Amino acid sequence: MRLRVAENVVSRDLADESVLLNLDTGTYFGLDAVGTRLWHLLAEHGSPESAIETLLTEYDVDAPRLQKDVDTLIDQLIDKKLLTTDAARTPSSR
Amino acid sequence: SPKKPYNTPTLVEYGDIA
Repeated sequence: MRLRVAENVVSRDLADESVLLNLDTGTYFGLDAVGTRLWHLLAEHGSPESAIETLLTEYDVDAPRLQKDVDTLIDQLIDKKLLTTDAARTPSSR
Repeated sequence: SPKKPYNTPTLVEYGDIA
C-alpha cells in the first residue's frame, strides 16, 4: 500500500508536534511528536513498512506495538481524509 | 545509540477552522 498526503491538506510543524488542516473539510488536527515523525516519513516515502523500520531505530518500542499503533493512526488519517492510498492506482494511469 | 522514549502516536481533532 502506498500512501500520500491528500490534496488540499497543509501541515505546519510546531516544535516537535504539528498541526494539519484539511482545506476541503475545514477541519484542523494536531499530531504529537511520534505522530509527526510518522507523518513526515509517510509524506516522504509513502510506505508504512519503511516508516516502521525507521521508527524502530529511533524510538524505544517493540515492533508489534509499533505496527499496531501505526496501523491505527494511518486508519485515522485516511478516515479524516488527511492521507489517501494509491492502492488502486497504477503508475501508467498518470 | 540511545533511542527516544516512545508514546503512542495520537491524532487530535481540534474542530472547524471557521
